[in-house]
Amino acid sequence: MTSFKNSDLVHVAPGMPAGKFLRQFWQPLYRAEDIKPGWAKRVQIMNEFVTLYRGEDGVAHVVADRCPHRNTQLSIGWVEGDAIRCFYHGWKFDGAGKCLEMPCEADNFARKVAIRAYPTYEYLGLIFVYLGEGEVPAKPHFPELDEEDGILDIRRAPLPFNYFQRLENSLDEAHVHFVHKVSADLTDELRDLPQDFDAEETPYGILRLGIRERGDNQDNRYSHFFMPNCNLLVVPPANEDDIWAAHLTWRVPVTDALTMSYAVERRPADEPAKKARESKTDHQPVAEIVAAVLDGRMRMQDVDPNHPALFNIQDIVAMSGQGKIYSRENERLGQSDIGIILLRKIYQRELGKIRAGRPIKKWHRTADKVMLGFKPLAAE
Amino acid sequence: MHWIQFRSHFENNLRSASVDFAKSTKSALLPRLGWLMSEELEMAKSKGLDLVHVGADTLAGRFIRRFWQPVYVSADLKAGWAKRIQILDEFFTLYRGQGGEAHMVADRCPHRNTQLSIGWVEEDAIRCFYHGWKFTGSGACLEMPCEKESFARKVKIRSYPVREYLGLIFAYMGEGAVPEFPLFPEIEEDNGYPLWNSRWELPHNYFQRMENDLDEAHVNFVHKTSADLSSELAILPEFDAEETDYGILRIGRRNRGDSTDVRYSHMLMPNTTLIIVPPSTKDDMWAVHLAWRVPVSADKTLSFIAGRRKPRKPMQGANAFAPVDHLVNEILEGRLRMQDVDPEHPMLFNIQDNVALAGQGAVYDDRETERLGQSDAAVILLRKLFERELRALKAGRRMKEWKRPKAKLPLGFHPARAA
Repeated sequence: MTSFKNSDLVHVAPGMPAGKFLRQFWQPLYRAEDIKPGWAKRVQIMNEFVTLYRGEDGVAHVVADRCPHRNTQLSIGWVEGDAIRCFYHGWKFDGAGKCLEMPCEADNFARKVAIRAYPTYEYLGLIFVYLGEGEVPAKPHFPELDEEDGILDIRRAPLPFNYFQRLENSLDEAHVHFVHKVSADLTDELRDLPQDFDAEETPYGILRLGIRERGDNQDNRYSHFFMPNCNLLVVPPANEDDIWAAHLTWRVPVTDALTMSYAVERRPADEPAKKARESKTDHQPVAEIVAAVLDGRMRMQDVDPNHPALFNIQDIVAMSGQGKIYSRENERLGQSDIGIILLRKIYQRELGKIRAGRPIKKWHRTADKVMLGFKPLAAE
Repeated sequence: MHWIQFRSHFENNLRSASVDFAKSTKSALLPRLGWLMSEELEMAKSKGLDLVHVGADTLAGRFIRRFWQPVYVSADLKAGWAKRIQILDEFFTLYRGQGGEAHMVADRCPHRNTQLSIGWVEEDAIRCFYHGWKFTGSGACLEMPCEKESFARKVKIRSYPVREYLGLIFAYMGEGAVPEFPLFPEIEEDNGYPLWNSRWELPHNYFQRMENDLDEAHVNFVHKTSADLSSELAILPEFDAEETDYGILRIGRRNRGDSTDVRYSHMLMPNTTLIIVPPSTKDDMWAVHLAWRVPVSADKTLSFIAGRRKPRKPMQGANAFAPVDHLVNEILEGRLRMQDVDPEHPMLFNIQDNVALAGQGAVYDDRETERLGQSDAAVILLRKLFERELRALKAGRRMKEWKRPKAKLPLGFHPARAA
């Protein structure tokens, strides 16, 4: 429907158009609970490495991957107070990248040396980082997940393919009835295919509608895509013990062929599905199942329907089938692909501005909650 | 051994040191702050020179082949056994004849190119496993079953001069006249502790490892837990490095208020370090340590050590320690921190150095982006010397004839002398 340059969409290194675009937004980098005070981690995001550390006072910082002196990995150093000291020769940097100490060297040399530091923000159990240049955009804010009750369930899952495939899947209402058939069959709301699909551009990204006739009533399933890579929707129960839950998720490129999915749900503290997820270790690993299905040693219907990562397995199988970095050649898109087509159009337009050195659209969301889930059509 | 003992050790040495040596160290004893000029920094970045690859057709590979190199630990090669070894991006056959003499010859039999080390050692010769061609330690073909004798006389394999010394097997893999074999009276001397050897595979490029050897400043950070045990290392030194007839004299000068002392360490070209290493744990000791960093391939180095020390705890046994590579990987992946490693681990120094160097990348070649300071004086000098020698080699110019004094080199901490 729209011509696009696939290579622009899939490559995310710092100098590439999509790399520059994605870097103009806050991105989740780590689960907050996975890094303790006094620890540092080397993390890869969008084809570059950074050092993430949590000061002894509990504040997280993100700085350059390597010490500028002899280029060793900073994450192997010591966290001291709110600063990090290189393991090799003890150069010490604060969270803003300033060199605080350079043992064995003259003070005026230390003052000349700084490393890159990135704005960092903790929210909804995730550590966000801003890797872009220039003015830092407003911090992520999702009142839909800000409720006080229940607990936040925060998951981080590696997806072995390009991020843009995953974004397209998030905008694809039709796949639910096939890829997630065993789950869709459990709910009255999803048992039938939508009669119609709609997607429209909004100030924050894309509003996605699945329109269903239900006898006298017609209702819409409202889902939202926040530019450039964040999805907010109500997801159906995966199995009988599960519930409908508001689900906020970012698909962050690690490399061109690997994506990290960060998902946040607020769920009742005592619901049984949570317990099932916690006992994940009893289940066959996701990667093993995916490989077996792709190799034809197992069929999708042979996967344990109570596997806590069922949705993930189903999606990974479907998207692995497209290839690690999907080429988008020779597709036959239909009306049900309207969300995907709109996403590509928006990306093409915005990446065109990046290539031309022009400012991108000022994406922003309302301070109020957006409408989620199944609502009568008139509500719009 | 306390450093005071090294002081008398030094004074003995000074009396026996050659005049040349005393002359060459004199200027090194002067404080050399502000030594770094921008031109030297440029040189240090070694623009355009490949320091990391070591195959037979590379400049660095040809340079290092002009020196005797350790290739194996003597005790690890029994009579009647052959081993295939990789050194300097090349494979060789090392075997010990039934009479006990070690030989090094080509990797493959010239007939159908199978690996010679899988053959039979017969007397002092090696017979190929495939079709029984038999070669002496000097590469002559003694027998060629199924072929005419005249053919056998025409066939020869390459062989390399071999020498055993300080518990190690050395070989000369270079071209031309075989250089004089360097002796190390510092290790030959029986100091009351047993001679020990080791051969450790390091998962990084040899040049990184050599730079680390010349880097006095890293000790207080990378080996902090050990440095904290030694009062000698309690303060950070001023640094100096001086080119000598044998390589580099490295000096760390420490002003202790009432006295000033210098710590002497040596780098013998092209890849040998002679140093007194501090105790790694409380029950360890200051020990004389001679190490060769022999490239295996661009991303692997063999560290051969000859030293005299009280033995460290064994890795295996009742209280087995976690393998070095596993711990290093856990730290790099952020699942473990350096301070979480058992400080009694007998390979503590290795773990620490391997972590710091792995952090640079297995084949570190980003030297142009570094920010070097005065504490990197010796690292800069090493790069300058390599660059000068490699450029001479490339241009076919005369290279320096490196030569160490017959007398022992001074080692460890000594009172500073007025210039």
